[in-house]
Amino acid sequence: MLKSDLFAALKTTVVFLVLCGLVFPLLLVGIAQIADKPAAEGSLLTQNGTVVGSALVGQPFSDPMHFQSRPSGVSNWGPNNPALIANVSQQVAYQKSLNPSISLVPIDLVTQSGSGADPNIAPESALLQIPRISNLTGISQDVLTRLVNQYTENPVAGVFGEPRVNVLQLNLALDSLLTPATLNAAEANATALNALASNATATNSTAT
Amino acid sequence: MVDQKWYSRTLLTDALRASIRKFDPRLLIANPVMFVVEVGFVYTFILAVSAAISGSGKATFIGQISAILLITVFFATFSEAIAEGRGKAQAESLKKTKKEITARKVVGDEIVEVDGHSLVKGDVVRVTAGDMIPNDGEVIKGRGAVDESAITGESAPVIRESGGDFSSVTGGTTLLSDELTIRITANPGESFLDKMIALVEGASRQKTPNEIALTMVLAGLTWIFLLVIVTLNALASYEGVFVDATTLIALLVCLIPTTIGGLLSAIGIAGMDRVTQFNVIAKSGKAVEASGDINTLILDKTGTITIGNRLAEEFIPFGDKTGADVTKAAFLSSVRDETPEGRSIVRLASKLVPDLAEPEVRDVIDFSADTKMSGVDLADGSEIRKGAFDVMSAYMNYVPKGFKEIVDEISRKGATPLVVSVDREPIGVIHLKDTVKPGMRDRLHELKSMGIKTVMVTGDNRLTAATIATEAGVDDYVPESKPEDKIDIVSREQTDGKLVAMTGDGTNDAPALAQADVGLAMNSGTQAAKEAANMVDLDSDPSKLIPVVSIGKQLLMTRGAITTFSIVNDVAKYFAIIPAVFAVAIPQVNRLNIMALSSPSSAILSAVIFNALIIPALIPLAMRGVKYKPSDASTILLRNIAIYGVGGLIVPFIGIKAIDIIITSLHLV
Amino acid sequence: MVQVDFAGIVQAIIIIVVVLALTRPVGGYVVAVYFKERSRFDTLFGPFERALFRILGVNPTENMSVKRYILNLLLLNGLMAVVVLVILLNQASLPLNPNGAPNMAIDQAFNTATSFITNTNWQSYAGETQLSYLSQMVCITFLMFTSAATGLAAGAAFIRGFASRDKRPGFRQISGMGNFYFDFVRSLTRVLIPLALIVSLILVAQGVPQTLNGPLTYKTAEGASDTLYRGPVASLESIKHLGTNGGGYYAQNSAFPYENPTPVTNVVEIVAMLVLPISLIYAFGVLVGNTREAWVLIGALIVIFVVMLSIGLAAETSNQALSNLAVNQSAGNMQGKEVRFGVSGSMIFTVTTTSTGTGSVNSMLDSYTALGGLVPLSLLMLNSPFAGEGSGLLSILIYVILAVFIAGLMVGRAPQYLGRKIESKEVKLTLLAFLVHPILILGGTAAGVVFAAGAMGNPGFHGFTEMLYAYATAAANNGSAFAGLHADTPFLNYTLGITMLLGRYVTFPLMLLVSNSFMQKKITPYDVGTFRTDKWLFGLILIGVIVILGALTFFPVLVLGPLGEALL
Repeated sequence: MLKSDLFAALKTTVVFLVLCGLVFPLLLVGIAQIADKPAAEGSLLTQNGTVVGSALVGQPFSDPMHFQSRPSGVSNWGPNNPALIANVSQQVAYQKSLNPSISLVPIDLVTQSGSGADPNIAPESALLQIPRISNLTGISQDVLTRLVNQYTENPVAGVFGEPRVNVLQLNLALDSLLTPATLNAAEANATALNALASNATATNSTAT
Repeated sequence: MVDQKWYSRTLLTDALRASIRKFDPRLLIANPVMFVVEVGFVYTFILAVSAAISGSGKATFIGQISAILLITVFFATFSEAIAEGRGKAQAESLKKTKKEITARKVVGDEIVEVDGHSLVKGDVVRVTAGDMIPNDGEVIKGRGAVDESAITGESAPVIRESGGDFSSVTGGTTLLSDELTIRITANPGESFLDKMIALVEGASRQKTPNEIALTMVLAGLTWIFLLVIVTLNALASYEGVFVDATTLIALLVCLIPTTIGGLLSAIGIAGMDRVTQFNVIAKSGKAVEASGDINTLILDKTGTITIGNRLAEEFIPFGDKTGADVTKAAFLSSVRDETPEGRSIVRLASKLVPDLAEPEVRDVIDFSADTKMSGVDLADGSEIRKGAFDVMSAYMNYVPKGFKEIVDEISRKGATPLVVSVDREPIGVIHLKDTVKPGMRDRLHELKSMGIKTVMVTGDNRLTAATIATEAGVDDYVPESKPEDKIDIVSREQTDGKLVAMTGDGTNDAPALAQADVGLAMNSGTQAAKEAANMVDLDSDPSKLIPVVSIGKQLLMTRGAITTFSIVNDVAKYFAIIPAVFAVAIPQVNRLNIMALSSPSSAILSAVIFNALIIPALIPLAMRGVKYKPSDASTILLRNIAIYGVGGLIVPFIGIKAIDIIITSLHLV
Repeated sequence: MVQVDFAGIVQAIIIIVVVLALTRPVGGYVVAVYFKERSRFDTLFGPFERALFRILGVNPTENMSVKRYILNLLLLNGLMAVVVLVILLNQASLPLNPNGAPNMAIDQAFNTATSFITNTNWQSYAGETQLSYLSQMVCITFLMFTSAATGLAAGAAFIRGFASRDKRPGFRQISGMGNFYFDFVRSLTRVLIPLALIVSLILVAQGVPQTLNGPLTYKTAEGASDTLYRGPVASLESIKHLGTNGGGYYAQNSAFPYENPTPVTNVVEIVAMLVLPISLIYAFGVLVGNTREAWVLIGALIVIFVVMLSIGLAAETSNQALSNLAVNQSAGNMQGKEVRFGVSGSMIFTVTTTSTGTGSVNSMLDSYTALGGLVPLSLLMLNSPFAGEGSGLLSILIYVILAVFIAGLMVGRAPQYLGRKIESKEVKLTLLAFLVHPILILGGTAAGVVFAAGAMGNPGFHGFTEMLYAYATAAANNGSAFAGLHADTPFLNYTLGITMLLGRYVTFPLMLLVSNSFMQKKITPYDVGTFRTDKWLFGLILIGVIVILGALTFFPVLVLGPLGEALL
């Protein structure tokens, strides 16, 4: 009896390894490629014909004329970890130097996400960056506000998920508004601001 | 038997002595919870001594903990000893009946005087009026009145005679009249009385199935807390905390279910005691426990539900017959009828017609369950008969019109009609009245509210049975049944998964008594019935089954209640000890000290003292059982959870705080 | 000030309503799969299954004794684990390795194989770089299916012991535990594969990748170099939740956008985790002949779920440690959480994943506040009461039997469950099954903090919690993590692997023996004196027993971890 049981177990292992481990995923690859190839390939976004990322996966933005995304990386810091508190205060200083008009920085802009690649920020976190970007790019605040609203996704059915802005898509749209002339002027302003911001960060981190 | 107070003086001193003996670890290991406490005591004792020798300031504290652990064990063994002591006291009163007896043994044709204790099974003895019956036996010749008050406490003598259901006699009872020849049915030391004494003394006490299972749960909980304690220092080492052994042991003892662990066996013994106080001897704790589980109760109509004997109420003449005719015929039919019914007929007839003369009887026809007819053949050749309608209608020459209606009318009233005939000619009907015992209706209703189905068994016809059933409020009845049918009823209920209890006294009840989950035999019944049953009622009152069921339920409830109480107690103990253990190394943990206990050592001491004191505080509850009012399961559950669950959560918070205040003000810590 | 997140509450309510609405149809389907003589799906699945059984050479109608059932379960599981172990050790030289994953070290391979065969899905590796596509498919996805099927089979067998013995038309007459291969194969062919197919398609439509193309290196919008790891994600992601597995394709698990790109996928994954565990309980109710028995259990579990969720939501409204900084915390403690889910979408997911045996995460539990992290940890200590395929119905039934035994006495009857008396044999087996869990957690954590203290990613109490969480999740076969722990050390790989094995393969046989023992018992019909387990009162008692037993066992260790941190 034991021998026949062993044999059955062996055959079951092989059969279902093929069925669940190969046939099922490969079948789904087939279906997915036919049904929705762009999604199945990772929802890639292109700019001027080259891939610049995925609509779903976040990427870091350090250029002050771009909307900033959440701090990159995943740390698994506990709530009372001094490293967390240091990092957040550093991020607060950075954001305040970039956007001097704000008093309290929204928490999503100064904390790391779960994935380290959060594609989104909260709409208010995007809106507070408008004065800076407007200054740097010369694009009116109105236009930028409209842009942010356009890329704001609201909770599904009003309850599922949080209101959010896809930073990469927003920045790609922003980039498309920039003419080469404005771009040059903006670059210069941005470099200056960037230097200022990294200074603030440096001071802050030595302080902690 | 008198209901003893649980705290009588001799009882306490005896229990004190017995409880010390129970400290023997070989005995205590049967109680895993208390065994752990004892080990904890020994360990802390050694620690205390070595601390004292080395002059450590901690010696007092360790010594205090050690002493309290010792007291905790003592309280547990004491509670068991108290319960056993009460059983012993009852046994003592039974033992007094076991005096030296000289028996007159029949050897061949001669009679030899021998020591009563030398008699063995099968010996035949002769007992005359005034003698004590030397051992259990069966009457093989003669008829006499026996005083069984030594066993039953009932002063009215009972009749014992050869053959039939009243042939069994018990050793230690006294014959009051006539002479009996008895075949001994028990060897020395194995008599019914001996067995009862052993049972009541708890000598042959074994753990019941539910007790074993509960002990396992308690052992499981003990293992969990052992695990918590054993791993604690390794875990706490991460925060640089080290918890000393005394504190760990104190925490362990507080957490393991000492309350129920200490009282469990007392609860069981007390349950059997309570049954004994009802003059019922349970042959095992298992039987008492099972009676709590009963789903179906099979009750005899006669003697249990109704007063017992049906009494003649009136004589109804038929057709052209006069009242005098039927009275005379009834009288004649019953002159030699020694049954209670027969005698009641004679009594009523003599009252109605004072000068009825004793006839000359040629032959007596006794009643039997098969013929359902009895009467006499007179010297003048006339046949006087009485009996149930169905057999009589077959026996009589004719059944006149309107006769059946009279009979049915009586049946409908729940009474028994007996048809009387002279020379196979119908004369009239005897109306035998059956009365439901006072209070029986309420008790049966109580049973119903406990979820117990009652089945009435009777030899009566369907109509009579139905009326009595309705009047008494039983759920079901089985009419026209013979004692032999009981086993079928028991089996039928058991196949439906039910636990069945029944009473019985006759030899033909024995198989059913054995088959039933709880069989209560009447002490007046035959030896076979008593052997087959797992309980014997010394008062021979079948309705005793009802309080026995309540006691069984109470027993289980008490176990559950104290277990629940014991477990939820731990919540408060944690809030006392955990801050005490960690507060020095992890100051913020002191925020959990919601009782605001004065110091870590007072907190630990208070918790351990509370833990010990709760055992004797609950001894009375364990002895008398939790309050039980028959009701449906949800009501009972809600009530017990409110008292013992919620109460068990709150009480220790108050108790520990109070002890903390006291020991602090007494500067004990 | 505590802000009440109404949208979050509504979201939770909708999810619970949806799950409850699915319970009857899916539960009914589960009943048909395992317990009915025939169903209308026979024409669809029958021929395929018959062919499978012929290939496997087993007779699915042959009734097995409990010993034989357990033996076959262990044998098949052991064999599958060994095969997977061998593949992981050699994946570099096997095909389908576009991302160039190296061979796994023996300790990590052991940990991974035991983790997935036990339905735990604890991961001491990062999937996107350390597993080949082949391993993701024939090791991870394969075991996700088969470990869930094993759990479902054990659940079905377990139910048979308690099933009503009334002859009911349409139900298969079984006088033993049933046939392991029948249960196992049908779990796959009729439950897991079809449902996984449906869920996968929804996920693909929402943007979860399903491709064999390798990682894509590209220049970001600002010109930095970056890599997008892709692969057959959707096929893994669906069974990961349906099978209450929880192992991620990516190290960041369901927080990573490719695994869980939208709030819709988040809800789909939550529902997928809950639907089979609850349906299994419902099927239990159908089989015992009284669905109210099941609804009381489901109700009690939902109460625990809601209470835990409420505590979690309240705890995560802000991180007090950041209150002195110029931070607007109105969105809650967002460290380690994704904006698209927010605090509520994260907490609902977390409570779901830990109250079932899943263990996937869409936010970093390690970064939760002390009390917020206590929520998933407590659920693990209660042995993930919804359980699901991780431990079938078994873990909730352990509590049920203990609750009935203790509270049942208080009605004045010897305790009985579903008309069957609970006697010393069942008590002993159930207690052993119950004891395994705290032994593994307390013993394991004690060993961990002594021998592997360097593995902790956070200082102080929080580091302790990481270690405690690791053994709790392994013992509960859950798999979620306080991921700051550096779990890839030989000590942790081996001890956690052993913890997972014992957590599953000791409990399963014990509880199957309990079921077998109940199968032999006489059934007493209910009357008004019966302790009713199909009434709300029992639900409350059950909650009380679960909470009190759990609290009593773990209170001291919690003081050393999350409670100590919360009280700071």
